[in-house]
Amino acid sequence: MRSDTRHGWLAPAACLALLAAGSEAPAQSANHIGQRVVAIEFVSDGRPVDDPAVAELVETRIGEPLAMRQVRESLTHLYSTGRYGGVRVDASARAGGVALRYVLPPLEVITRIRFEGQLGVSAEDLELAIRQAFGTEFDAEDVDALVGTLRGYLRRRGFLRPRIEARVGSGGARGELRIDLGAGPQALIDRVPISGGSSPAEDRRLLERLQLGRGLPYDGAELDQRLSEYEAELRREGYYEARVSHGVEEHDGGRSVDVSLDVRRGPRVTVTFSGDAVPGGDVTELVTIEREATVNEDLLEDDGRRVAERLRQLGYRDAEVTHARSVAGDELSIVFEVTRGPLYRVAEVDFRGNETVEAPRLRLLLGVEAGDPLVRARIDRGLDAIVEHYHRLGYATADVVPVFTPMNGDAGEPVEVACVLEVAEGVRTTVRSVRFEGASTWDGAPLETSIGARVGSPYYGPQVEADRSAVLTRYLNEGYEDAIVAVERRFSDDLREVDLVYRVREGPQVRVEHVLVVGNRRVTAESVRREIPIAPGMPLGLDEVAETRRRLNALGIFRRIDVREFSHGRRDRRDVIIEVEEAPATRVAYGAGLEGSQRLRRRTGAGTSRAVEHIELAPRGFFEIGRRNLFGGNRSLDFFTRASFRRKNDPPDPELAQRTRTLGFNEYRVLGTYREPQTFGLGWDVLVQGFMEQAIRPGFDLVSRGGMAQFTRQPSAGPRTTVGYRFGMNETTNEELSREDSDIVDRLFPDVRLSTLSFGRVRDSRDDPFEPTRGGTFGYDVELASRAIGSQVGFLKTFAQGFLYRLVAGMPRLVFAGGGRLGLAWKFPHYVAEPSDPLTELPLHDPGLPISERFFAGGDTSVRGFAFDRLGRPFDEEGGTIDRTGFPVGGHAMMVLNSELRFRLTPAIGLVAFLDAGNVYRRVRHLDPRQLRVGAGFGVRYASPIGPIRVELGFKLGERHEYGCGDQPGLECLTQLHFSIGQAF
Amino acid sequence: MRGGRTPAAAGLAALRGWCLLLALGWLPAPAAAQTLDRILAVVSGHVITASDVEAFLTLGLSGIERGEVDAERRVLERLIDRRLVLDEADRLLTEAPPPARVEAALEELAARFPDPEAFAMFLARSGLSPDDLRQILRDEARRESYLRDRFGPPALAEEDLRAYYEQRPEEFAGDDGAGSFEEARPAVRRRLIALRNAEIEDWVAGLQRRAPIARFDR
Repeated sequence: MRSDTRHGWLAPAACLALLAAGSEAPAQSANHIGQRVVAIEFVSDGRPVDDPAVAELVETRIGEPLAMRQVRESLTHLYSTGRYGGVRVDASARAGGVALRYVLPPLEVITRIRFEGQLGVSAEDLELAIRQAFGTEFDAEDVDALVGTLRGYLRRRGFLRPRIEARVGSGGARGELRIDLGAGPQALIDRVPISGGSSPAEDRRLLERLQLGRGLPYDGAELDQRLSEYEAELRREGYYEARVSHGVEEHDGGRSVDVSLDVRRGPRVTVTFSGDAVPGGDVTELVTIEREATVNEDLLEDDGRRVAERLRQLGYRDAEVTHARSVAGDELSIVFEVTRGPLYRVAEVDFRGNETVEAPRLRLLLGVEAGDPLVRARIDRGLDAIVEHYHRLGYATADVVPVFTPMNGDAGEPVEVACVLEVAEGVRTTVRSVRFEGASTWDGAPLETSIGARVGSPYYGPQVEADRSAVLTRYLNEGYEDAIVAVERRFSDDLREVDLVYRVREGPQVRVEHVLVVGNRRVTAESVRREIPIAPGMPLGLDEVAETRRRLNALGIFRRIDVREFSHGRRDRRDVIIEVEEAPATRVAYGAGLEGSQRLRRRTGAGTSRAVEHIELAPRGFFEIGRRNLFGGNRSLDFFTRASFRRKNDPPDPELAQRTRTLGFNEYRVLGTYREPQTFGLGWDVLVQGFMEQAIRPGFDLVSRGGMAQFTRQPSAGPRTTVGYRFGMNETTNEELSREDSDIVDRLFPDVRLSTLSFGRVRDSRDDPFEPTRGGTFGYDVELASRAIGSQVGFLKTFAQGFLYRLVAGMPRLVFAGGGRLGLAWKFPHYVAEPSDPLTELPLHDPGLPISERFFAGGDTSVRGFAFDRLGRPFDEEGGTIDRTGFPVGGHAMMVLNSELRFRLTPAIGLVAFLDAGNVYRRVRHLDPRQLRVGAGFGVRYASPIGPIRVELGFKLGERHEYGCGDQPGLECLTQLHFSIGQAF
Repeated sequence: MRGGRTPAAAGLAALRGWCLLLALGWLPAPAAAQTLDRILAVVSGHVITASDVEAFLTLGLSGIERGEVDAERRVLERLIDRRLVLDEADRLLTEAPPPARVEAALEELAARFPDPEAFAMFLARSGLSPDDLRQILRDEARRESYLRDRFGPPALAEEDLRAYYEQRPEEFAGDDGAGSFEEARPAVRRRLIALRNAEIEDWVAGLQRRAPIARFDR
């Protein structure tokens, strides 16, 4: 007890000591800066966040000293994700340093709406009204406005005193808006006064039609719909100015309403034409008063002018159209009086004053010839083209004035008019100098390469403007987002020379501070960063942002990609936020259908046996399963299989042929593919594939199995390069070719082992892969097979192709497409054992490539006058590749030339006319362009979402051979019909 | 009395208990957290943090002194307005001041601190670098330049004062109805400055209505 008493002073002392310690605590916690970070945690909505993507956004690191700069940047990064609002960082002392807690208040986004209580109308209607005003997702901040919208909607539906309470996320349901509704009673109709009605009987009919009457519930939305239908009906009856509307007056605290109808029919309008006939289609289409629902004078004058303009387009340049109104009762009659006047025709076209440009060239630009109707608008277009041509040559002040002189005056006869075009060329202006001012980033030289104007070149205003735009684009691509480029043109006194001064105001260059990836779950942020051209420290250019989107889209592993910028407050630094939504990792696809295709089959008759083309139908199905985002990267593994139920080829041997007639899954393909983009960070995409395939080709069945590895590099600008290696077995069976026409290699190696190395490059500058209108695609492949790398046969095979696409000048809907393909292959010498002395090898005479490796041509993407793979000359001719029974044997050389004019009739329908030529040659030495076989034709295309669907009819031009046509022996068919998807080239 | 307590012992025990409770209540928890920084507002995509407010208050760049009523909230309002004006200045490519002027302003700011260490400590605690401060000073100059171009200079010329006075001398007359320009000059100056400020405030209020501003300080 004593001791208790003795040490009793300790309690107050300890108390004071603790108080003293407590008072020092804030000073300690305020001094966390510089201490080692020992723990970091993230909390959102009271729950821990363990998303590694979130952790990656913060700059503070465990083990490193705490720096406020990193804290500030972390706050900005976390906010920039768009998921969190007032982000906060708390620090607390922990053994050995400081622990950080990032508090992430979620930004509330409403995605679901739940209605409770007395709704009055269906929940679907209510939700639709909200979604129409606010979209499928909206901020919680919009709830007040939403309640206002909902109140307005319910009032419109007749619930005039609704009670609405909205609560966000109540009951822990995040993203949900709960609306407690008391719609109250729907107002009942008391009286329905009608103004503008024609008679009491008519008013009664109108009330019945609109379902209005005392005691019925009032629904403004439905009533407006009925009024709108009634108004449309009145217009169809000729009351073009009909207007019907309704108003409401409330009674009894919103329990009843008076609905007032305002009906204004206006006069019943009839439109007729008198005077001369108007050729060129239905003239009433030019009258718009019904569509515009008014018969005011301005509109009638416009309609009259439209009719007169049609006549002028046809050569009646004095055409006049007037109109007159006459009213009888409530009928308004409008009569358009048409006076065509004489037809004017161009008798001759002559040019004067032209020194630089010859008359034939001007005539072509004018586009009007003797005998054409004289249409001023058409001549004006031609004059514009001539002036534009002069401008391009540097004659900036060139002008052309037409003089029309009638040559005859006989009444009733067309007036022949001589057109003389007076050309005032003016002086030719050339560029004397090009200078850049204010361009401190680059000196003049790099910018000069961006522009087309050169010293000594003709001055052309639009070119200068295009150059200004090109310089600006260059700055924008280097991150100068505020850059301004202006051009000053300083002409000499005689206008013969001009100095071009490009004045540049660069503004600050924006560079990338951080690249933040958000929304990723399985794909690591590093994988995304590796894929894109944007990196910290780089200028933030327009092209890089577009390329980032393109590359991420091309990966095919994201459902949604959003690239946006976020500022740290500095004008010259920006974070780039890449928000992605990953597609499901496992992809399964399957399908089945009926395939219709043209096949080449042997038809054996009495003493004859030959190839006949058939349309064959075969059930077909596929199954595909793939896994994306493997190992946190954008690697993928896919398994694909496809099979068709059909019979095999028929070999000439009848007994053997009997066995192959059995139907079965005789055409199939099985592929296992592994893809890894940007392998090892070197910018090469890798594709490794194992394959097993059986194909029924024209003349033989081919079973291939093996594997390949392919490395592809596709820079953002420049050609795509591919390097590959393939190893596999090709087994040729059921060969239909006559034995005497078969190559010895095919007899020696029906089952051949191939090991090939390949290299290829493709440059694609088309503006659209489906419907290109400019640009082109050029590429080549080289393939080498050698016994040194394990192949049983050795050869070198090359294939080059190039296509160009251009809009035809002056015809924006007409595209010219043309190009060619050339394939050449050489077989390396081949040795076989001497039959009498197996140790001695003898060279084979003129050995060929295995049939699976030879070139074939003909078909819907080749020369379209011919069936698939059936282009060639008879085998008994020098270099021929079609055997004596009509089957193609393929060749070592192939040449195909294509050209077509594509005319876009409507946005979805197009017409095409084509001219193709090509041939297949047995050996390279037989290649002879004079022996090209020609096909021409026309077709229709439909632009479907999966690419153009084509129907084309090709005709063989020139000599036809005795391959038979269908079941008929004799000459091969004149025509060939093709159905396919995708462009021919 | 065995097992019992004397009144003194009982009192001491009560005192101990009271002390212990007091100490426990007073002491902060060992791991009590302190907010290092937080986002207060986002203006057109630009984040404004509590450390920004603290830095502007310390540097005296907002015209509001520490200790004034509601100082932090008022500084935040100023920073929001500042950002809106800067966005306009960016849009019209308002020129930045010469680097020498920025350097001079930076030196002047650093000189407000007792010594270089205190200045360095301020930078560390606010998370700002000298480059950031230069940017702030550059932006301040651009903001002022923009406002000067748009609303006229804040320092009024003598002829402006006189012209304003001569248009309405009666408004500056004394009680006896008399008064010279010289006597009225201070009042004229105050009036014109107030009018300019009101015009700027109206304009900024318009910017606030149009710009996306998210506040997280409430």
